[in-house]
Amino acid sequence: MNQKSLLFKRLFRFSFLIGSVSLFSSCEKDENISNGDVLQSGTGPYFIAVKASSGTEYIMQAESLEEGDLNISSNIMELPQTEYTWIFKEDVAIGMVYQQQFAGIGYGFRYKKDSSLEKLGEFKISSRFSNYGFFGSQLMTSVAGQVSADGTRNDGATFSFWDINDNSVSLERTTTIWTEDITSNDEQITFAGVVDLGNGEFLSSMVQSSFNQTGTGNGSSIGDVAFPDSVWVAHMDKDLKIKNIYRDDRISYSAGQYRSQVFSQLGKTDNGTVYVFSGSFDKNTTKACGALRITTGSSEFDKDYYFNIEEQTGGYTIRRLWHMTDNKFCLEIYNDINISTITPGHQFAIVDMEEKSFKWISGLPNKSLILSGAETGGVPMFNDGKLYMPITSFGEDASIYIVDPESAQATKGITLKGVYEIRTIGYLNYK
Amino acid sequence: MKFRSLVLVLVVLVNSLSAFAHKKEAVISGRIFSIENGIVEFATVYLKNTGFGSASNSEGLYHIVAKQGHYTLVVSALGYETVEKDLTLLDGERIKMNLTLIPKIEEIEEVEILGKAVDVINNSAYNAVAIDTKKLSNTSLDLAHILNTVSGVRLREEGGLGSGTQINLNGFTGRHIKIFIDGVPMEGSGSSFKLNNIPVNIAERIEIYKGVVPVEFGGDALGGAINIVTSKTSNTYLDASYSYGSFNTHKSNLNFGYTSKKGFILQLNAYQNYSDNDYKIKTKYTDLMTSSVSQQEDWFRRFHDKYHNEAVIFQTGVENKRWANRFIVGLNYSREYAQIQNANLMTIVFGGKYRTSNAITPSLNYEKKNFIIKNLDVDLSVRYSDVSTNNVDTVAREYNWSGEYIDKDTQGEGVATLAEFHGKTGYSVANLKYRIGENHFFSLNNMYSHYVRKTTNSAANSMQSSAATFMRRKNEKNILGLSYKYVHSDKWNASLFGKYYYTNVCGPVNVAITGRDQYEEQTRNSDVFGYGVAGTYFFTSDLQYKISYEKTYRLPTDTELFGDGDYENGAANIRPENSNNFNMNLSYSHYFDKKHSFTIDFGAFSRYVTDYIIRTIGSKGIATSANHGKVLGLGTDITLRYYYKNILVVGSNFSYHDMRDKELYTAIGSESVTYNNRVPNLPYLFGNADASYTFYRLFGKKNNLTLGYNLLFTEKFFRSWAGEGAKLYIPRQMSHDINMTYSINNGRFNIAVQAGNITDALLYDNYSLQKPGRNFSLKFRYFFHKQLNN
Repeated sequence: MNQKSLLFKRLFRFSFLIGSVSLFSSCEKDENISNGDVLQSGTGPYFIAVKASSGTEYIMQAESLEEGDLNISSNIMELPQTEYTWIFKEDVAIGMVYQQQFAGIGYGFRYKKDSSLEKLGEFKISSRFSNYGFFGSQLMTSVAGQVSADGTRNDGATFSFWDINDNSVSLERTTTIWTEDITSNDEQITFAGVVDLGNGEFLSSMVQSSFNQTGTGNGSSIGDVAFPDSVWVAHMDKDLKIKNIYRDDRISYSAGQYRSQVFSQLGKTDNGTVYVFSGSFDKNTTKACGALRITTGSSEFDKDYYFNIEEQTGGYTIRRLWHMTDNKFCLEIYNDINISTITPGHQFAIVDMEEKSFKWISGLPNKSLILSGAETGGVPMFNDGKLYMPITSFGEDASIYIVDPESAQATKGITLKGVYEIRTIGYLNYK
Repeated sequence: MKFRSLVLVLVVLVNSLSAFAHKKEAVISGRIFSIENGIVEFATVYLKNTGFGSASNSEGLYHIVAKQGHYTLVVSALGYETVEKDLTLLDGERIKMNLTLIPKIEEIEEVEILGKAVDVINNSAYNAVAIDTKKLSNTSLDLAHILNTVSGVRLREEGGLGSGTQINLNGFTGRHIKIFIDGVPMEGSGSSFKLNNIPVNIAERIEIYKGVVPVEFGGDALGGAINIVTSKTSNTYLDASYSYGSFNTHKSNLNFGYTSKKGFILQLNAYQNYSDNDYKIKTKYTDLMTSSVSQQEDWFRRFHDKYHNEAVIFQTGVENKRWANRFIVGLNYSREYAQIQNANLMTIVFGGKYRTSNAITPSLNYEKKNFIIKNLDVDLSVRYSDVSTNNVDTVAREYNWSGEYIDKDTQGEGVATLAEFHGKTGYSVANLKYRIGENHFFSLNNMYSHYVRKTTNSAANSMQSSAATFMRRKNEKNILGLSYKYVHSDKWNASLFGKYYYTNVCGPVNVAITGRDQYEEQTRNSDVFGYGVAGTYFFTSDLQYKISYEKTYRLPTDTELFGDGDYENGAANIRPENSNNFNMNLSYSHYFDKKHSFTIDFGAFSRYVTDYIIRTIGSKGIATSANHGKVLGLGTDITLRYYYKNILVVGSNFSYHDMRDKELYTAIGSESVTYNNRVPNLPYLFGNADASYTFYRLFGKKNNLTLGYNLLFTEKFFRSWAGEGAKLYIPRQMSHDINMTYSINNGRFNIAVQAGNITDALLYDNYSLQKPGRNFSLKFRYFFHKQLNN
């Protein structure tokens, strides 16, 4: 046999070998690369965003929050990122997420006639947000402390306006305003809260501060506060023109804080009165935790109204708050009298702001046993005359407590096996 | 309970090793030389028609124990004529016999290749594998990709050249595996000097220790260790190569070594990697005007993923002096530039973010045999690394996957940053070895490391500056190990060892009682004692049994404690992980008819880990690490290889690593829904297959052509826990690579062509992060080698 034919014989042998190896390996061409990022079908008007003890977040759907325990494994979607903030309006649920150094991918869902959910689409959130709310038919988000394109200033507050369409969530516009000019006192402003006035204008609380915190960090835009004994609320139009500034010295600024997140402490009642709460977060303030109000159409705070909440709580201050119905609000109150940004708030009360009445919610686990809501989750929901409060306590799975707004008495509803924390609950209505 | 029965089993097995023993045996030992080139490593030396045999070590020494009788001693080695010599052994006799081999270049095809790996590492009592990287010098692979073909090892990459990588080894991943270069930890030497950007030509071999790590590696390796052994040859050589491949990838390497007759050593190693990494990916598209993400996926070319790194390693010193067998001082300089194309979700794309890194590393190595007293060997290594890393995100634009952008009013595609970090790491590793006679070996090893990290550029961090930002992070470790090895005979040996770990960390801790966060520098100490045993027994020279156990600890790394300043958050209260690692291996290799040879290696292991540290995405979306209860792992690695002369090689390995959560309760005390679930985001079923065929004397007497094929397989796995109802997964991977190498003039000139992922499969090692598709490369290599005749 000459060398050439020997060579070919060997080549043949070798190619046969490779052929047989690749045969067993099969040629599976993965056309669908969604990698599991799909929404499965579920039923029920209640949308529950949950976090497992591993930190992974899922979406669950429920027919009732009062009976029928759920298991996390019956979730309808695993979310690729974590710390989503959910906001609901009628039949729509919007989940927003922003991850430090990275942008986030948000989700929109719509509740269908057959009581299942459909994906409205995904959207990219490239501007970080620390403040959000519905404004007209749009979703508005804002973040402060932004650096200008040329790097010369860092007092930018960027507002984004999102449209919720039939089959997508889309950014209508992004506008940055330079906040050092607003009060002309060389301080930047962080906006907290969005109160839609219904006429194409909105109110947002302003926190004036220097650019950096001394001796502390976390990337918050709120720096050292030079005037901790005053409150400012901006009245703005859709183009972010400031039409009026409400100012008062009876309370401190109106905003809560958890690390870099800013909590809204504004709330509008059903009759249009806007209550401006102050958790007296700044340690240098001499003002008590309390609230003022702005009546419909007024250009200044109601001079005759002041509610000292700290007197009612026995020295504790407010972390977050949510409007329930009429003049009633649910207050989340810090566990300790001396607080830092990471102090949890596991005491709850119902206040009637008109009557200035205050009632502790009873029937919940002791404040020292509650784990949920220490960060940004554990957001309650008011629906159909009841307040639904997500609570996780030590040694237990997450549960939902149902609170009667009159008696402030809580009773335990459903338990979600395997859920570490319920981040948010929403009630969706088919339109 | 489980632990106790494990120890019991171990004690019984170790005892059983010593049961096979004692009879008065003869010993024959000596050195194998080549007629032209000094010693011959890894020659097979055996007594014909018996099971008695051994292989020459890196110094050419061999050692055979046999019963009395008349024998034919056979010495064979790749590329040499086989030598046979008749001899008679008497009871208890010790014979010294040096042999010299004659090269047999022209008859290379007929030389038998050893089925049994001829490496001492492979034959040691440890569950260890060594790869002779010299054989892979013609590939354009980096060290990480070579590791990916080893049984029980799986590499996970985030993208193309220079992207983030993780090594999985017998159920452990990332930081549970310690990587060493010549016995000194690689940690802290900077991202410009990592497994996935070091060319294969730097290493002489790679040693992989699974589960049980000898004390010579002073590391707190929970799951195992990888040691890159660089060339210490006393030769003069020049190895120069250049490769060009898909995605505009250029790699070059120059490796030069000179040793004078007086023992003066000069070594220079320089390499460079460059790639545009502009491979195509399938992903969703974001409309820049509306920020809406498309429902459908489409194909896009990566446009901002350029990567390059350059490194120069210079070493000089002397060898064979009265005061030192080897004394070397070295200086490494490496730098890196990496554009950042996407976030940890591929949908999120960037066009301006990048990272740079620079590292400078002086080093010193001193080796002396018979230090002060006879049979005491000392090996001392000192290394210091100064690494600076700069993360830049200042572009006031927003990009999409088409490479289009819109201008923004504000800086930063994420949060605007110019953060610069400075890390300084010092290592000193001292190793003392002492031998009493032929049977008792002692080893004492001490590794001290000191690491300090600071954010240095205050102006650059003004956007998010705080007191904590500029506070230092310090991590000190000392690991002292002592081992005793008893070598009864070539039949069996056993080792016993202990390690004392000490750590001292210091960094900012939030101490705020009132008001906003307030940081204060705090210090913590902890110490712990680990131990282990290992034994091996050769039933015949073909059949080896190994057994080993170690109680391992891993102290948290500085990154786990203090974050990396970008995507990872610190967790100062992390506890050391600990694990009970048990390994059993059985290997059989046999060759017959002077043509066929095969090896079967079966390994089984168990791992019981408590305070397991797993990397999770924490609050604010930053990756962080947390102690996670208990994990029990059971696994097996199987390797099969067949050789036909040294013409055809077919091999395959298969691994099944079943790591399961054994914690009944969650961290908050509620019943866990993940009990007995498989640990997520960890490949558990994978394997490789390879084949190569060499045509000798093709178009020239000294020219050879080798064709090769590689298959990589990883089964689909979920990103999160099954008990939670996890849905996101990493799909099954099947990748086929082929290569062809033509070497001219006995390997002086080499041309290699490689085609990777030939079926153009969509490959993922991590959720949503797609790896390159079909790719090609062409490598030219010149290799000149002249051995010193000692």
